[in-house]
Amino acid sequence: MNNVNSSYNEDNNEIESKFKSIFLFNAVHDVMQTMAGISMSEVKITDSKEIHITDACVSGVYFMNGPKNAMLIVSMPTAEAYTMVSRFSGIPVSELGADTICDAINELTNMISGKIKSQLASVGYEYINSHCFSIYGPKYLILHKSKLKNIAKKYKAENTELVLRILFV
Amino acid sequence: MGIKILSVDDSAIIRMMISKGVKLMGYEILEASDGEEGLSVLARENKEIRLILLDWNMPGMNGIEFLKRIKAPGSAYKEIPVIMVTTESEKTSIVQAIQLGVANYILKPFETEELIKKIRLCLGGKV
Ligand SMILES: [Mg+2]
Repeated sequence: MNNVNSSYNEDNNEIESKFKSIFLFNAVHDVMQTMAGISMSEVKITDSKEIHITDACVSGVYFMNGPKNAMLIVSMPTAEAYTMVSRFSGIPVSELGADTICDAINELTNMISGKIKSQLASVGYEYINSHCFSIYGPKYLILHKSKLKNIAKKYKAENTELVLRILFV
Repeated sequence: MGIKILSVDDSAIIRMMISKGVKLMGYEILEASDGEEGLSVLARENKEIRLILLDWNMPGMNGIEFLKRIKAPGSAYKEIPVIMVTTESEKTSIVQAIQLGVANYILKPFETEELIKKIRLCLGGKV
């Protein structure tokens, strides 16, 4: 039984070590910089339970199919998502609708996962693409079993924040 | 007659960004949200399209399937240059796209300047 547990733990540590913090940061930083001219930095958090967005937020969800299947969730406060999308699309905030915001957050999540995927490939972890979907609404919670192995990170810039979660499913 | 460029991408926001860049260059933009729609636009425009900007991952007919169709022997659209605009950055993906005949490759996220530069490169000498 102990052997089973220790190999299970080693396996999970292996997964976490491949999903390096720097890979996640590089992905978020590059995408936000190129798309919106926003330079994000990581917020140091000791307990992953502290990671949440208090305002209403919009999330993009993406399945990463590979050696260990994972789900990537990227969340941003809705109001800030509107400002950001307006900035990179050139469309005034007043003319943007929920459809466009969801489409943009999907594409943003797609690009972030693309960057993570290519860095993982460079260390021998091949993932394939899937399609993304988004969650939008005034109030919702994203809950998962507490024992589900996960990585949660928060990034911040002057006017925006972004939460990235990876759930190993 | 103005130059027509076809953008095939399932994301409306990406098509908007591409459209902005293409219009800045003074060209006309046509849009499709998947491969099948792209083929319909090609058929409708009757060989007037000078360049295709193509996403890889789309629900329905994806970019690679679309590429195989238009580059197939006997296809009327074989000579239209294609620029892949995608998040697929692995070497194997790029090689696959090149083997299927893409003229250039843009990785998402991209800046409008890069898009314009690569469009110009593809249309070079023909404009
Ligand atoms: Mg796509």
